[in-house]
Amino acid sequence: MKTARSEQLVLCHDCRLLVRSRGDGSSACPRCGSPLHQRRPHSLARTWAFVIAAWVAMAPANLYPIMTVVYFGDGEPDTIASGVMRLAEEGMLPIAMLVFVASIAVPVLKLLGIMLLLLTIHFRWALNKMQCMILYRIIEVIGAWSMLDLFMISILVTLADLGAVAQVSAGPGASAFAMVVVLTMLAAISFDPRLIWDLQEEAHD
Amino acid sequence: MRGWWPCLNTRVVEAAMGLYQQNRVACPECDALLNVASPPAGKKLVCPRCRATLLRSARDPVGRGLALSLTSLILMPPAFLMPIMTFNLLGLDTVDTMVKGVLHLFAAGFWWLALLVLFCSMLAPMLESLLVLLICLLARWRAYGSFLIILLKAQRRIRRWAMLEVYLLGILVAYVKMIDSGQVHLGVGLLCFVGMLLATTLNTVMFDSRPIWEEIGRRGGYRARGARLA
Repeated sequence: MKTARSEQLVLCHDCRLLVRSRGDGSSACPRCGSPLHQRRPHSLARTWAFVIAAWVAMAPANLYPIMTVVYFGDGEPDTIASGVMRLAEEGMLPIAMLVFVASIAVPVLKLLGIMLLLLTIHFRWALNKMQCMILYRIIEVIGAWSMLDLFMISILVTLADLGAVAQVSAGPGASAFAMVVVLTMLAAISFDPRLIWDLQEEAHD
Repeated sequence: MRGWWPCLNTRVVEAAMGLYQQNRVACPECDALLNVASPPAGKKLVCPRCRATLLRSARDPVGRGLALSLTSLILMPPAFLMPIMTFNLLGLDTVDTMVKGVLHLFAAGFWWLALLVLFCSMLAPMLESLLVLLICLLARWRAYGSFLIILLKAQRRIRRWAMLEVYLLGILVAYVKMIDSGQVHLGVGLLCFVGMLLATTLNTVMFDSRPIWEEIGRRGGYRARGARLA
């Protein structure tokens, strides 16, 4: 199949104009003035950097408490995992599942998914391109859903602000988890899906 | 979010390879080079290789952009400032608004978390609506200058940081968590929030910058008279 690259054309990242150019960043898009790149610059290196940083931030996010709920003087700090367990024990299974998916499953699977795509490109694994693409799109869409826990904390600290009777406070794990969310989103943004399809072009050459 | 909302699930037209000679397009997600024609109004054109959306043609994109961004901007102050929920326990009342949640986190010293919540739930949606409003106004006034180019680039970058639908789920989870501990009442702010969420999301999904970019291109791009980029 003809690609823009095989025809020496470059798609502008900002305004999507198709331009004849070397695409090494030395020329600017005639329509919007942005530098032209054949692929997102340093896509793999940047994505790896964000993925590794996200794994590092994952440790404090899961080990430190993200929230402390005190109800009539009784309560202890909760980590992400113990918060989910507490919800499940209190019989709120659907909500426990929702929080589990948003705060544990999504960040971990997202990072593993991006790593799979990166490794596929590095080692030229012959995976189905369309399936890789579906994985990439899922990663792009679900990224924001991990913010659920953090939004909930910002609501609970205000709602349960009754001094000695009931009090919710955030914990250091929440700040680390916020870092995880931002880093995984940046990883997804810096990944260029066209690199997946480049493997196919190179295989045909 | 593409293709996730029913209003956009109009029938899909697959880009034909080599059928039309009017227009060449490269798929932004797989780099396939395709010859395409503009799809009929209300339909979208997808890449035959990777199924990414190539082109959409909305009916009256500028008019809809104006209407939806105005709606969401009008609903934003009450959504941010009016009570989302009130909680009552032993005669003690607390009121939750979106702004108060952020201020609480700031006061407790979680400034980084507070900033992120502020940005993703309030600033980003507000900036996005504001940008779309300005873009549509400038397009209507035919002011295709460098300012419009900057606005279009900013709109594309800020889009993904608006997470209103996730905030709605956050409200739901908080509500379910508190319901056993005391009395929880939903407030007017929630109603405004849902309206604002609908308007903002529709706006994000339907806004199509392509016709505006094409008009900028016809007028000579960023180097045209009156258009200077810093």
